[in-house]
Amino acid sequence: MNPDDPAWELIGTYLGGSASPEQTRQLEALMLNDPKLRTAFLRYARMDAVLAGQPPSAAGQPLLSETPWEDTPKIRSARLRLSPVAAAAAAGVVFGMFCSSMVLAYVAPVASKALGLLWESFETGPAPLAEGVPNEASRWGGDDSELVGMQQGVKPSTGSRMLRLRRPDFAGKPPAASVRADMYRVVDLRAHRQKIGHGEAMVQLSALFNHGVSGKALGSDGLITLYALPNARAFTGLVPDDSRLSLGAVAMVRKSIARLDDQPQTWEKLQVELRLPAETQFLVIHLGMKPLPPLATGSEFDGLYVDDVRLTLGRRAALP
Amino acid sequence: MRSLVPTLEDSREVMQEVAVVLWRKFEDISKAEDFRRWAFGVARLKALDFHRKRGRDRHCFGTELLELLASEAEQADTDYDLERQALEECLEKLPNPQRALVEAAYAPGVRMDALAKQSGRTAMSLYKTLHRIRITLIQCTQKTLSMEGAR
Repeated sequence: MNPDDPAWELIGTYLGGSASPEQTRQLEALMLNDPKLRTAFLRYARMDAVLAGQPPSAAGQPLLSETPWEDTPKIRSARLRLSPVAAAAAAGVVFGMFCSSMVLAYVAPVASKALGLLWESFETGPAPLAEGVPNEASRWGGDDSELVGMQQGVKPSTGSRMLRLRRPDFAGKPPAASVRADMYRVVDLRAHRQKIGHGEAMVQLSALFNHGVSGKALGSDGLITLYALPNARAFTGLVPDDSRLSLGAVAMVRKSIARLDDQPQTWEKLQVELRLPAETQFLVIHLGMKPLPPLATGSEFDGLYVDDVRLTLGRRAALP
Repeated sequence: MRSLVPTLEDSREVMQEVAVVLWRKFEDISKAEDFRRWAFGVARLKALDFHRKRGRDRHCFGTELLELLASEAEQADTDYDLERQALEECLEKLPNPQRALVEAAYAPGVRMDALAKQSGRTAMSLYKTLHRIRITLIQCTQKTLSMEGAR
């Protein structure tokens, strides 16, 4: 189709969500009678979906080594080897699956770069589950939390929403000495088994932390942990005692900030890297915050926020 | 899904529902082609359900065209991996200001009017510029794919 064809403009207007009913009917009538125009429309829609799901790391900010994966099959033959998961990812281009917070998005095969597994800015996903460690890979879960816009002088780092950690517990959690709010997300790496099997796979996790100005607490800390797990049993059924994650892990890494600064305008970043043992099948991301000084057990927190969680899979040779 | 639901935000919402269904079931389906067909089916049903719930919104296509699009998307012999890779290559070829504009426009939660103000344009001018860039990207992607095919 000629780039100057006015139908392109109608397509752009429709997919931009700003077509009037008359323009919609006009485009509809044209498309019903023109297979080439329908093909053009589908191309435009696919491109729009892919662009909307491009994490920044894929657009010029690779977080890890860009050494190509030597074991990656040639792209041209990749379709012949599609696993169900990869097939879903391929189909996902049409479906618009490549949203940063969607579980099926991260299995998109990218041949030669560090691979963005997750970029979560809490803009479009469902509210996190308040049920401890989630048993499914598509959700955040943990203690009681909510998605909020700007509040207490803290503006979301990206977009218009961020995660507020509301309590150090959730309904049904046995009373314990929990003074920290913990959130988790499971990431399924089984589609990347071939990359991980060589022992050179690294993952990098980062998250931004902040706390508000008018909360009850004077300050807060921040914590991230990344667990590499050999099977789903290592994270399922951990509602009452999530500390068992470390017992089932084949590798883990943790980093914390003892005390965040008192500037709600600035987000503070925690970042860790972990070399994945060959048997890794799942990752569990853990984010935690607690007010300082700690509040009494069961108290509701005020003004603890997380945003912009990124997870990237890359490759780095082991030290000699 | 993007082709069946009029706005990006709506398609994300519907896609969340699709992803939940796919995630729960995909281990039960062993053949890639079966999974693909089933995934398309779920997406189609969810998209039609979205339109049904919304009533006959005059800003959306009618069922006949939606069914036609869903069917053609399913049957298309498109190698999505290759197409995506070609698009990435084309993005890299864009002049820096254009690429930066695309990245800014597709950042989560961005508002076009705010972006237009920030870049010193009117919203209409921004839409037109982005539209031209998208057309450039589509043309470039198709050219790249046809060159790949000729090799």
